[in-house]
Amino acid sequence: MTAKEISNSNLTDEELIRKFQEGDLYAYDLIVRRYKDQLLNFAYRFLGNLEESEDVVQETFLRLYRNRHAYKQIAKFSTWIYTIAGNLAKTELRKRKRRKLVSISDMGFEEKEFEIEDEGANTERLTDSVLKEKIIQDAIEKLPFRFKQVIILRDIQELSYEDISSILRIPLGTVKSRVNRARLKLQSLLGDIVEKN
Amino acid sequence: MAVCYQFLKHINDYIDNDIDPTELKLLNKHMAECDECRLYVERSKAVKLSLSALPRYKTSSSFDIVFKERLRNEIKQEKISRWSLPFQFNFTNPVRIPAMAAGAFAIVVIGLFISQPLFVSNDSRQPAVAGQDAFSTESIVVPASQSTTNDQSLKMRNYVNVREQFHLDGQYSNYSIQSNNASGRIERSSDNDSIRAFQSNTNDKPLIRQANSTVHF
Repeated sequence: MTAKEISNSNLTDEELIRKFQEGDLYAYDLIVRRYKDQLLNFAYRFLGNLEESEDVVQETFLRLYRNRHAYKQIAKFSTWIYTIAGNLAKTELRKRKRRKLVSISDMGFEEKEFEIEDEGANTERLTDSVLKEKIIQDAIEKLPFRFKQVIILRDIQELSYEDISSILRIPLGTVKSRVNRARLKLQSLLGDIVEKN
Repeated sequence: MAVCYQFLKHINDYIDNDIDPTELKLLNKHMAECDECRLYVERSKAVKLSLSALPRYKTSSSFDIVFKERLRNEIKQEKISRWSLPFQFNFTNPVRIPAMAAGAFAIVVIGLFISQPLFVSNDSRQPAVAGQDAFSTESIVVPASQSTTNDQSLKMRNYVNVREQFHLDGQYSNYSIQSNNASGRIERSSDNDSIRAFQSNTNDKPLIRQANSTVHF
């Protein structure tokens, strides 16, 4: 770690972005290191694919680089970067939906046979925690997008209601009610896991 | 599952560990009596716990390498666009739109000014350059009284016309000059770096002009 990196490491996100706006690339590097894992987990819970999620995270940081002067100190930096990453994840989901539609409609009549994975046979091979994670991930993916957004930000990323409200640009009350409804939906989707806990 | 509406807010605050002590007392009392609400709280807490206990992933070992490469390209791209554009186009910024319009207007005015004939005919009744489309035709009028004092403007004019000719039909030599009283031609030099103007007199004998009629481009 260089002297400059050490001096930057105690700075807040807002101070770092200000330095970056003034041309300090060490500050940018530190922001990337601070946020890359957080954002990876955030994107992963939307997409369920680590490679695609890494791509979203990289694109988020490139957008941050490109639009560094668009950030104004009035907003919290974390909410700003989560907004960028969230929008990119949403775009990726949309693209995926389109790809799926195309690939299914591209198939001929003969080919439209799907092999459904025998989950029962796989269960034994999966460790308990991996299986549990898969079930939870599947349940999250089944949620409508507006519920998925809030529950990932609140119960996985553990952001405050106020921050979620500014990331999604919706009123605080709406965030709270969506979180409750998402939890309620997950209760029914996660049946057994909830009972065991 | 039905939850008692009047306790919904307290329940959510309770799940989020953000409940007032007085409200907590009230809620505990209620939950002791209401199975539905107690079950809802327990299940919601279990959901929250399951989500927060999900494994946290770290970026892969190739993340930094790939990202550095992408960033390097981004920086390179930014430098190129900074060189090619003195300012960034931003069509969403209302302040910049009038400035861009003014800039575009200035470019048009300068363009019109440059495209004006640079030849000055000694004959005031004649236009300096015959044919408005001198850029796209093969002939340019050279005044009969062309003298060495006009070489500078001849250079400019030829430069523009010859380049245009090259672009239009890919011919690289023998560009002709004609006027009412005199004619001539321009030839490309063997090294392809310059063209040389020849002016013929009325009996059409080519006359090699002075060195300063060589046009560089």
